[in-house]
Amino acid sequence: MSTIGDDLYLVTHDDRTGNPRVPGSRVRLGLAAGLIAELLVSGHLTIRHERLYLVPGRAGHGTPPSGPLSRTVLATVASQPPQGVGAWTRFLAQDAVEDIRDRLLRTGVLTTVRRPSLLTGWRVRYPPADGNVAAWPGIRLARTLSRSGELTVEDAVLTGLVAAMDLLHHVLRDEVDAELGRSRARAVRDGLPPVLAALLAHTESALADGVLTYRS
Amino acid sequence: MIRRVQTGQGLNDALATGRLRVAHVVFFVMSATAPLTVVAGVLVTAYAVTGNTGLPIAFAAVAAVLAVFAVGYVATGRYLPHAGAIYAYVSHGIGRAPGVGAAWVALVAYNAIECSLYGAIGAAVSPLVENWVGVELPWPVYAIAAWALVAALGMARVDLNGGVLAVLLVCEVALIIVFDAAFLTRPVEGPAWSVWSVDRLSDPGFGALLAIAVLGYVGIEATVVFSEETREPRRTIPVAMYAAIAVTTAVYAVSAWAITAATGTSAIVTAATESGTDLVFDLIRGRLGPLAATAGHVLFATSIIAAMISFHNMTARYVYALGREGVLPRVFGRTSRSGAPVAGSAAQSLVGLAVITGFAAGGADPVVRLFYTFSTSGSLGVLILLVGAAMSVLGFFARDSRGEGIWRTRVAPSISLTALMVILVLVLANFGTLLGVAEDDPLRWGVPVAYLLTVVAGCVYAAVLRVRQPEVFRAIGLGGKSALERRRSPLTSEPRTSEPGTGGLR
Repeated sequence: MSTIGDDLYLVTHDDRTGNPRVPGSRVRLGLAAGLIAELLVSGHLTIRHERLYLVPGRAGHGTPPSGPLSRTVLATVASQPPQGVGAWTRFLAQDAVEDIRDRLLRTGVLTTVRRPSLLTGWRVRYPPADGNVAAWPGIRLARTLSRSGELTVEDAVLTGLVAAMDLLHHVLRDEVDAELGRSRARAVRDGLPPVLAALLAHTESALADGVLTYRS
Repeated sequence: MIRRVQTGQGLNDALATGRLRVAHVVFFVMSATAPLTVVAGVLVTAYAVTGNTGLPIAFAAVAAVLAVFAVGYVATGRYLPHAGAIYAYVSHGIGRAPGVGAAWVALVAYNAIECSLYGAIGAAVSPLVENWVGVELPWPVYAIAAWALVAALGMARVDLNGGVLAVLLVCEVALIIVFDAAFLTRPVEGPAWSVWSVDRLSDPGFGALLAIAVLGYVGIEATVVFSEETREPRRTIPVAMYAAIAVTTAVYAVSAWAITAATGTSAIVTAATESGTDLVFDLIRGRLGPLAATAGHVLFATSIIAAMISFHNMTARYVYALGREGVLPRVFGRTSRSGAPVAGSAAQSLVGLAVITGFAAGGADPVVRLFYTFSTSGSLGVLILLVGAAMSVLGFFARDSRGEGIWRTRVAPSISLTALMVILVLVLANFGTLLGVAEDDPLRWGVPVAYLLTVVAGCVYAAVLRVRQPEVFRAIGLGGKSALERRRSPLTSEPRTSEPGTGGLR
């Protein structure tokens, strides 16, 4: 089972404090796309004419996706007539951060820390249990990109989503040949299978719309 | 856990959007127009420069035209993927090449308006500083300080908080209502009814006042941006736009009238020339006491800064959208990790810094030459954009009325196009009066010709793109959604005219 959502969560959050590295609205959209990407890669969902469809054999009586979160996402998509990829991304974005965080808490990757706070009573943070585990997806991506290794399709999607969230610079910050990493990331993005490229384009446009209509 | 979509509820209904109501949208739109900046800054300078007292009637005329214009504008906005920007209207309604021309004009106009505010901030803040600290500083000090603040906020993606804006806006409007009432109830030579006389329409230079009136409404075109966040966009957005036009008109027209009443119709031009932007606050001091005048000065300063931040962000987002499309270099389509359109923001800040430095070095008057000349020149650009938008609405519905009635698709857009063309011709005919320069001054024709060249340059550039980078050309006017158009794959070969978000772009 691919864990694009988990990996993206770890890349978009600080490996020590667990705080998001990019604004919440952008994390949410990216992670929602990550959840959809997991099901596209596993073959349970597909995209036709900009809409998200169930793949009958896989989603119906074939292998169910592993993990309760993926099954819930699939059931939610199945509960509606086919809808646009953008609409699903924005819909799933409402809870994507909490859902993936729960998954990472259950597997013990994240921990819960409660501190008293003057303003809100309690302030809850979710720092990783082991900083090395949390940093690994980013390091793996950086190494493969800047040292011409072969990328799995999961990491190719992850690269696209990380770039869409303007975090590629951050991921490649310690690499000697960051420029090679960036140019390979562009090549990876352009070489994605059509269905995943479609998801990425919808995510990029949702993120860009967020920049254009943002106000606090 | 993931929310369930209720039975009978569509996915779009289930989205957590739709929180904004009419009042919210009106607040957002109006706070960008910064009423006190217009009343204390633009109106007074306009009296001084044009010597014409017909401003109230000019506001009423422009408001009537804009209300009719809004009918087709809002109707079209529902079908556009990037409805916040007028160049997107032009791209979809007339063509992509004029769309780029419109985008260039918008960049010039919004930058001009933003730069103009740097000229006003010194005049607004220095009386306060002199009063409190007793130091007299040259205007570029205040301009650079405000510039640095705006540049830093723009980079950090700090937009103005909706609540702060609402409080400032309410205070500004309350103050304006109080002093309007005070001025009108104790006029110097009778209630100055003559400013409302239709005879003003035939006064020399009346056309110049129309440009000033248009300036007061810049920012209202952004109303359509909020449609995705309202529960009933088909009702909320038009109502919000009409309400914003109505409230703004009432504030401006009555204030213009009240200021005339307070000084006397015969004395307004002299008083405005002598006191400049201090005029309103001097009048407040005389009628309502020094405390009210100080409050007015503080609100004038915050109003200018709010307008600066809002125009800065508007310009930065324009640059960002064009960068996403590939019409500007792609670097402008990047964001910082904070999600701010950094390159667009930096570009606007550089323009601002260059203009401030140029004016400081040249020693020109910051209020009349920078604030007034730049803002009225920007206003001409916005007027050109409005004419383009009115044409686009007609063009957009000419191909397919999309089930909208004839009033929205033909009648109202035709009326507003005709009226806006008349206003444009009148403004061009009186542009020397508007700027307060002689007919042979280089600015008199220089500014209009600069806009013409900008349009032509944009069209030529688009023609080059069409040949050299057809995929960029196809994405013109899509803004953030350009990523979808660039990816031509078997998945998108289906005609997407009915797909929400791409607006049936051909």
